[in-house]
Amino acid sequence: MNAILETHELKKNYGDLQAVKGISFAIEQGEIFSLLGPNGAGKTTTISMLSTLLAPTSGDATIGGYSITRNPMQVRRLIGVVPQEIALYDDLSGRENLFFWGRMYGMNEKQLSHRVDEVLEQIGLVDKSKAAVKTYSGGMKRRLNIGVGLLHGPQIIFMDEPTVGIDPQSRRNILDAVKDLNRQGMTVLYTTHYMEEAAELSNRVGIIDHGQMIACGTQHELVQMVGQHETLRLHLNDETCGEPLAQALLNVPGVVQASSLDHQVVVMVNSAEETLAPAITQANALNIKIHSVEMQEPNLEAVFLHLTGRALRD
Amino acid sequence: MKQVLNIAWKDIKHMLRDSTGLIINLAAPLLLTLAVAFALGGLGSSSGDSGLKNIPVLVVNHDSGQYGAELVQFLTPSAADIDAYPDLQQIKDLLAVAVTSDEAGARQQVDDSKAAAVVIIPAGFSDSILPTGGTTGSQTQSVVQVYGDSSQQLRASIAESVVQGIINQMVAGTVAGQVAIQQLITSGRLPVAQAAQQAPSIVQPLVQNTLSTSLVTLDRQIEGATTASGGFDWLTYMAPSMAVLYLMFAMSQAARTILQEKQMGTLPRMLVSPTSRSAVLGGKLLGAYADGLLLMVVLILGGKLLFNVSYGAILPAVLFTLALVAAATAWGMAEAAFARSSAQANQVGWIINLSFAALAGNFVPRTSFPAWMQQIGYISPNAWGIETYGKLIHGAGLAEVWPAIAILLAMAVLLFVVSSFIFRRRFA
Repeated sequence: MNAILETHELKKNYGDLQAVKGISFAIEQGEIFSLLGPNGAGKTTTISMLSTLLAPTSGDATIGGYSITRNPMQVRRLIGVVPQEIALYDDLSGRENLFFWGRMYGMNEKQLSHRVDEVLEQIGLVDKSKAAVKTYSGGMKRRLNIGVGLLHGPQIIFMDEPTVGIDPQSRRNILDAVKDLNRQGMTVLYTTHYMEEAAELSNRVGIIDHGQMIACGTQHELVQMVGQHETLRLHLNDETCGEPLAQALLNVPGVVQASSLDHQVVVMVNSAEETLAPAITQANALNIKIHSVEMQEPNLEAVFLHLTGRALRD
Repeated sequence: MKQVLNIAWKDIKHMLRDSTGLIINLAAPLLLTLAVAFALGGLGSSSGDSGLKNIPVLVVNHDSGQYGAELVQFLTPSAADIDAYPDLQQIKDLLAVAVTSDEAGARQQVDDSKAAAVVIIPAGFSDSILPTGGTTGSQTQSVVQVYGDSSQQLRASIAESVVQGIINQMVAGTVAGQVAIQQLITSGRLPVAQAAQQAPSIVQPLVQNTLSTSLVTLDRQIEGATTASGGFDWLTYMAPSMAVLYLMFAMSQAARTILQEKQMGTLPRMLVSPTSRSAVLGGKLLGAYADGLLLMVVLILGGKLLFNVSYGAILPAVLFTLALVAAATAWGMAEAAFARSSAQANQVGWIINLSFAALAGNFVPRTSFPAWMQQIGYISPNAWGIETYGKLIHGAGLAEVWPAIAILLAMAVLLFVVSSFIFRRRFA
């Protein structure tokens, strides 16, 4: 396999703030590579640099052999970008939006007309293609947003948290669409802070936190980093009780790590079944009410907890 | 270039589909023109079909001579007078003249806005036109007073113009008559002793048929009105003034779409397409410029159709409009370039455009401002627009307006360069 994208110590500073602190990774042709990390980890900054929107402070990356710093125009022809926000014109129809963006990629009218029909078919918006985008549902806008990224037939598509703020059904449609694209040979760089999405879609995952790539590999490789540890997730009624409970649970035998996040305490344990009872006892002793409990096999969440001591934010 | 046109065409479509924006930008200036012109001076235009009829005017005649009576007769023509002099029909249509001997009462009616003006013919008026002795040696200047209502400046100015025109005819006829009498005396065909008796019969026909300069002056008492012939036409002033004002606001709005697109995510999306930063900026500029041109074409045509305000010769008007829109677009781009967000650009745009409107005299002629303020006004396209359209309306040609075109183009280039530099740095 050949790497279509390679980054070398990519850094981005905003004044004194180091948003990305020297990231290096490679994406093979035809794979789905996810950048998984909490909000503010540096995922969008990384994608912005790779799509030539932001100039790196130092380091470089190549896409299809072209440098993002020295050959940005060639890079832009090879990539498709699906931004996190719906970057469309509401007063234009879906078809007009596709024509507009196609022309921005220098496509000629005949080629564009044919391609617009293909993409509308692909994203399931043929029937609504002449309606103004402002009349679309959120899910339809998301699909069109993806369609714009596909229009010029890129070699790799960057999808920056495309499921943020949408309903479960639309989310499902988008995940299926990403898998379909990949089956057709499209290489995908996908960023998310949803562990389940990264787990479902990706051939390989790069875990990013505080601007650094803290782990990278297949899901199997990453999970092996935490051994056979399981995850016990305790949902609390009161958010303020999370931290004292997490501290208390660290003294329970079999608990490897514990971290609180919003209304949850995420606990990495040797055996979830064996730790459940003492964990509830600790909660009762602190007069903390547990709303519900989840037990999970070793997963990316556990990896993140293992590597950072913190839970991934949902 | 293809991408530049693509972006510009998208922005034009956006403007045309924004029905609320279209109404605000196209209908509002025309309505405001009408409202301000009405409020400041009554409706009127350079044409005769503006609804200006039966302007209430009072005449007080203190003169006991022939010419005072004739002036009153001209202002209140009978059917027989109109048959003899058909031009008097226009005066009859325009003015509703009532004769009174109560000067104080007449002035009070003007103060109460019940009459637009009172024309006061002084005692001795006839003597000043043609001295009783028949010679020019004893001729004295007479002062006919027009006391006007400041809230009806346009109407008062029209009354003044009519009186001025009649007096001019009388004086011109007198001068011609005096020359004729002098020649008759010199040639011996008119004895000097009979000259005084014969003079009126010689002079009178000439009075009624000639035009010349004024020896009889008008004492004009209409606060704030101009002395231009034909009076101050607020519609002619307000139509280009409002068009320029709304152009400035529309260009601020159009340029602001760069920041709106940044917030919407469409600008970053353009910037990750194989389109140069210059082409993206050029497309946005071209779109804004086209919007501005479209707006001005509609407002100029609207001014012509609705108010009969003609912007003069086509070539200088077109060249000047192209330059004016370029300068207005450049100001809009500069506002957007220096603002951090669309909301901030909106605030900056309002402050700049309202300041420009105040300095340039968008609502009140800047000729009434202090000299230093009039000079500062030239920083704005508004001042150049109002002044130059005014010149074009009054028949100026390219020779008179090219300096304004050059200055606006220089202003546009300077602001484009500065804005482009800032934008390119921000989006680098």
